[in-house]
Amino acid sequence: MNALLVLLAAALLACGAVPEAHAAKKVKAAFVLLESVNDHGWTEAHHEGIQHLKKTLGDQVEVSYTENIVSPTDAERVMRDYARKGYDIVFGTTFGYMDVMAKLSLEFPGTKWDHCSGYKTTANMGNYFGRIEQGEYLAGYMSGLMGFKNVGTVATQPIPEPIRGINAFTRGLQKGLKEAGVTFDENKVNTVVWLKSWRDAQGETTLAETLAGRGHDLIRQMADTPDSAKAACAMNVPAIGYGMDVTRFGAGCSLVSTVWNWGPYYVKAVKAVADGSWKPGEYWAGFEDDIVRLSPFHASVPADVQKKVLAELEKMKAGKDESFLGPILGQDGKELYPAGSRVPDKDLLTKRFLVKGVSGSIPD
Amino acid sequence: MSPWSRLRIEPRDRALPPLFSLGLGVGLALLLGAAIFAGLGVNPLSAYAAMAAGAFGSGHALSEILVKATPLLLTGLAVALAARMLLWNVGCEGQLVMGGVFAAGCALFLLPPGAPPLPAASAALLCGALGGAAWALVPALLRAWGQVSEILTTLLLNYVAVILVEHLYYGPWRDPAGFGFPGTAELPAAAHLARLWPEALGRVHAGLPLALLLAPLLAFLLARTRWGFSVRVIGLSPGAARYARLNVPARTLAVLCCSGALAGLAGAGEVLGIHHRLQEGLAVGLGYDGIIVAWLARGNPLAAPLTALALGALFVGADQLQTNLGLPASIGQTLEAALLLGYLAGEFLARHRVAFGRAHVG
Repeated sequence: MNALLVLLAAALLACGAVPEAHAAKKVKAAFVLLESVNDHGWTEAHHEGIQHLKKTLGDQVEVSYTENIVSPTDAERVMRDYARKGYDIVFGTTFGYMDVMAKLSLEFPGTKWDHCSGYKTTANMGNYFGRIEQGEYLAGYMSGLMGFKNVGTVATQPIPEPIRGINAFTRGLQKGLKEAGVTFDENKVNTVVWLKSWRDAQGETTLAETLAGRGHDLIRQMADTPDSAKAACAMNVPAIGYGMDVTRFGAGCSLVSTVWNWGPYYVKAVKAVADGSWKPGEYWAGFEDDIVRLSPFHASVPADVQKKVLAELEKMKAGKDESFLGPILGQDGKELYPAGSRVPDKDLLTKRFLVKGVSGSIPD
Repeated sequence: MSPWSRLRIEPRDRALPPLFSLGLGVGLALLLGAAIFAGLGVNPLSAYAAMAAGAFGSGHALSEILVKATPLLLTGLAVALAARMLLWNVGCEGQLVMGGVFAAGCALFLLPPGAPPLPAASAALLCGALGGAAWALVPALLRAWGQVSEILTTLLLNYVAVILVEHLYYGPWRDPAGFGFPGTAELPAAAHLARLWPEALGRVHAGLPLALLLAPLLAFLLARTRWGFSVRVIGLSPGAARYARLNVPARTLAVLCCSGALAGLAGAGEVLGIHHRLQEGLAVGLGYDGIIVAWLARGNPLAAPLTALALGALFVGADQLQTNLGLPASIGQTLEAALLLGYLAGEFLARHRVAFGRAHVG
């Protein structure tokens, strides 16, 4: 029997090695992706970015990707494989890859490494992210103008990234409610429950149903699938989508979605590799760079609300982002950042605090 | 009357040799795989070629096969050992996780700072084995003295183990400097399992020689010792075992706990040798894959290293189907399932014949 296994191995080997295509000056770009490319959310948005990259740069770039790499140790194997195969730049698209990529960047100084959503850099590893919380702020503003004052949020991992989204949405919501002249409980406009996962379709559905069942009037989420929005729709409660336009995936009740648009960044990064100007930076942009977008509004969003939200969006495009402009109060009402000061990027990237108006706590 | 209504399946007088079922199993798996590739619009030959090149085409890939095979071999041995007594340990996944938990807990909280590497790593490994054994203890007790099916209890405890480990790295054990991201702090370097030869063998660590040592040891124990003999007798004929006054409950307890310890070692090896912290990505099915390793090896510990390598090669090779041919990631698991199905069909056909018409008489 053992002989047979050896025979099998030999037979497979005899089928021949796959010839490696080597074209001069073509940039070889590799992507390591957290989930499947049709997850209807986070990874699908990156995949659309990859398609945009391929379409825009054509035969100037050779792209390869590996999906469903949840464990950082698998990421290490796959990324090392790409580096050894001579890929010029390796993109990793989830926070959990950060330490692995930092380590590999030292091991492969000739390869360029670009990490999405982290905070570490090395001599040949940069990071990139988008300020999706700007979109969350606008979605909150819209919801406030429409009078929603008891929102339920299905949150994912209790790390700074989703926390920024929760805080920005809540601040936008309060701004909208005040402008609309609606009275509301200033300690509880947005109730947060945690999934403790980026993607858990069943858990997303359960949490969204629970929130809707408890009388929350709008369900928002930042998870990697549209399932919480779909669950809300099924219970006749409107929703806010995240990552991609969730109406594309059956959540027709969604009022608006915050949407990732990675394509232009990937084109920019690969072009920089091609002309030798790539440097390990810390890219963190928002509407002004078109890396985040708002989906079209639902028909039930009044025209004057749409107008106000889009006017705020134009302000952000012009670089005037008020989503984290002080005064900012903590949940207990204590002032965290005084009037007129903006929360520094470093704090946004690393600190964990919830603003006044959020009900629920950061799990520890 | 359609010919199918006269289809009969009858046992063979003498089973066909093991090579038949393995050959048929591999053949059927390759055919099933080919059908899947064709369905996905990819030439099966180029798909298998890409897999072979990906798995055997570079030193890096070969070393990654060894990395994958290390826990597969240990969980395979765990399943094979229990199966000798006709016990079905489907709880290797949970035992592996608890092995990782105990090993990480030992490295993080028990080891004195400044402990020298060899004793530190050995102590952590031992804790991992204890963790796996402890997780098998309850099913073992229930089976030995309560006649509760170990299939159910070991399986269900897998889910409990996963919830427990998540609670630990989300909660009390979370890295205080990790900005809330789930996962413990990195384990102290002294507790890391040594990499054997990083320049040539990459991430292959001391767990591999340990596992390779345990396979013949287990074979010897089962084939050449009184204890092993009694285990085999109990497996073959519980009635005869009782008649011979063998202590069946005590053997049940020992075998299931040893099986759990082997799976626990697999988890400890992953955590101490590869992950270096407790984090998401420990419970990725290596425990369940051990069932396939053990079955393909027909429960023989000496054959388990080869089947573990074969399965490791399949997983590493399947990566290339994604990167080179753009096939979905689930293809590796699909092929694994095809392999087991094909093998089981082969086993069945080795013992039974399919015939049309009337039954033979005499």
